[in-house]
Amino acid sequence: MSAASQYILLLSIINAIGAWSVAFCIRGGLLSASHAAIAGAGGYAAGWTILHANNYFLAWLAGIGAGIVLALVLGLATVRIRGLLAAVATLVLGEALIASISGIQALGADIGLTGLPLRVGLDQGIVALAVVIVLGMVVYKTRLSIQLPLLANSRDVLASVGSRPTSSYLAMMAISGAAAGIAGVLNAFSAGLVQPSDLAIDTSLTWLIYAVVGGAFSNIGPIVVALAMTEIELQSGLGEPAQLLINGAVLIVVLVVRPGGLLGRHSTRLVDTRRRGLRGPPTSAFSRARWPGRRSRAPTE
Amino acid sequence: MEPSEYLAVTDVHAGYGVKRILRGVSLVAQRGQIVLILGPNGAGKSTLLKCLSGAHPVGAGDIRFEGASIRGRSSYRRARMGIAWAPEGRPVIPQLTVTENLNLATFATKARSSREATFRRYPQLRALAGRRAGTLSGGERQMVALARALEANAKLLLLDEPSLGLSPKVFQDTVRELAALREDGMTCVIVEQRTAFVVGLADRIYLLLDGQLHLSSAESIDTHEFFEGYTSVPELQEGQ
Amino acid sequence: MNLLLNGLLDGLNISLVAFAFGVVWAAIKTVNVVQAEVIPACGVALWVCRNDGMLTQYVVAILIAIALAVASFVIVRLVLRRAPDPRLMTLIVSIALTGMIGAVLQVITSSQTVSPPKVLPAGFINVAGVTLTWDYITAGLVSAGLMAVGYVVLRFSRAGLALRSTAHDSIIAAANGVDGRRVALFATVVGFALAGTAGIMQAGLTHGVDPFSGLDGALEGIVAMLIGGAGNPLGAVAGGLAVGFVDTAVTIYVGGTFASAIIFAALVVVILIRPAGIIGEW
Repeated sequence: MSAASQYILLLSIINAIGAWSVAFCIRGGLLSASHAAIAGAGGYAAGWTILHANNYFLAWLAGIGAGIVLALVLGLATVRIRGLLAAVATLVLGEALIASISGIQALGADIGLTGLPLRVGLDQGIVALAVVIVLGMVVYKTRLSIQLPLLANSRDVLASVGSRPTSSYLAMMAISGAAAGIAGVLNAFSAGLVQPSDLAIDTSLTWLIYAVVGGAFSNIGPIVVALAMTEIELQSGLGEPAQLLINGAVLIVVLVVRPGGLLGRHSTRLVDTRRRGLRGPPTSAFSRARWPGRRSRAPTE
Repeated sequence: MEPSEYLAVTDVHAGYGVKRILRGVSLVAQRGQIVLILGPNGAGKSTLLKCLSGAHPVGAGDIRFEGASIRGRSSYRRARMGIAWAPEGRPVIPQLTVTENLNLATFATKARSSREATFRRYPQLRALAGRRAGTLSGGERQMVALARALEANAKLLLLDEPSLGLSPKVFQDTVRELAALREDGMTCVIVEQRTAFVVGLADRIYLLLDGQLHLSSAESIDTHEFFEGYTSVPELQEGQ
Repeated sequence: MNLLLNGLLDGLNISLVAFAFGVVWAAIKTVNVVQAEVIPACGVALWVCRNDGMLTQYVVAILIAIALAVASFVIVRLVLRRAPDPRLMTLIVSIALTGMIGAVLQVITSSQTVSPPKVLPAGFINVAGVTLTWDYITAGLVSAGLMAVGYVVLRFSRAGLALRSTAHDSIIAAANGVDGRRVALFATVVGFALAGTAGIMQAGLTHGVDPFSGLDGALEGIVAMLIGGAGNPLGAVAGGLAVGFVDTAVTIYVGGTFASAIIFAALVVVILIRPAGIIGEW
């Protein structure tokens, strides 16, 4: 495989991890338009650490840590709101981050951090992707996998079963932020620089499209779609306008034909509670209208 | 369907997601009748009214009004056919004034009754015209809803628990008004839990149990037994 | 005084965008992000028609805004047939459409910032020791005038009653014969036309139209709408003025690059303390 193809594949992996992080939030009911900003912040943290501490391992930790911290900040800001308001709040956060970082000289201002060592290759990208997939599989086996749909649909029910919605929400943000941080570090050390445009909302929205097209409730769906679409678009040499047109058209077609995503459940709901027995409250109490003493419908007279 | 059946609901099924609420309900109402639907909490009474008004989709079955099927018609189209619906607890839009709530009648019909006629029938509303509907008492809100239905020349009135939040005396006034509307030819389908006041008013009484309607009568309904959990429902055949 | 006057004018421009988003929000309870792309689209339309008369430029720009309104409305409704969660789905679809429209604008402008003809008067005036330019004053007055007309229409017209009743309780409105889809289309067209007008004026105020600027440019308007009270025209004015003042103050005293961060912080504070916004719902 040529160096160019390897680099394109690595970019695809970065997009795949970013799409996975966005999809993870969608499962919990948050439509995030700022995950590229979170990833970018991770890249900046990793870049700054490598330039000043010259420790690669520490740089990775800093990058992932920055992603987690920023995601938690976003989580704290949006924990009491949901739906559209939260989505807009993430948009604004992304914008605020870009504007703020552009003004910090220590981070290179408009130019960004340059001269970063090119430490990441395709093999490390594959390992990072595998880590994220395994992370998703592990989460699936934990209580969080049940808590996420309840976070999205009914926090009252979540609280009534003994879970704290705030804790679950922040756990979701932390995991998602960690994945975004991984994407940011990969980006920084594969490109050798990190700049404000890496945090652009356009990237977040592209990841969002991949997540929805792949299926937010699928662990693999967003990854497969992101890999495929990035590969196709970059290998074919399509410019940015063409990529935007294709991404938008694909999203609209998928939403019309298969709203749950290509590899998601065939569900008409973006947020699906119909899994693992989450069919709503126990049917015995709700599916029949009962009152004391009633035994049958037959007339007694 | 009989020619005299003004409203005919035939084997309607409806629910919410996987939960089935109505399991083949059927009812008929003739023009100028008051039909009362009783049932315990969660039986699906409000769901039935929502299906009649178009606010909730029907999974199976048919609803016919004035001889035409209205099953696929949206809520606003049914309103323009003359079906007026006052949902439980929110008969008016509280953020709009009384006048604005009444003016909504212009969307249901071009040939609406005059405001002066409304104020003659409901003189209290004249003084309340500029007030926000949210500041009105429960009885006044009901009055606005009834006045709006009259202005819209409604032919079928769907009332969901009209006694909610009303004192017994005020609700008795509402009951008298409903009787007057019946005299004017209005057909009403009322969902209610305060059976004592409305049972005597109704021309036809249905019980909604286990997602199905059972025709009953005023003499058969013993309020005490109904709420204490009686073991069976005296069922009547159609025409008894 | 500099802060007061410049903040006021800046705020009025932001208020118009907030008002435009608010009109659409009132009908569909969500944000159609394509409205954001209308702003640079109208600026690009002015640039494309730069050799034609001013009236032609305006008409083409507004027609493009209306065409985008109808197109996005139809596409969103098509998607919503199969997919519930209408509010979030509208946002997602409109995000996709925004990208597509942005792509078209990039192609038209070859991804360059373009300079449409100046539609606002030049010159300046000195008010209480503060120098104000006529283009900003004109834009502020036009914004205020449009919002005033919009408020009167919403408050006293039949279409306004339909929109308000749908905004407050779409179910009762429909039960009284109000066609929700027609109201949504009307609100979308009006909202997009207002956003288009804001775009025409912004083209005159800025040094050029950036085809990439869609969502960025409208974000302040969206934030202002949410801070003031979504769907409430008075809230849009209040939110726009608040954001305008904050923006101007931060630019004067701290530095413009941190304005977005501070506005975000303000949004978070308002969301946490009063989710309905400063003025609240209409």
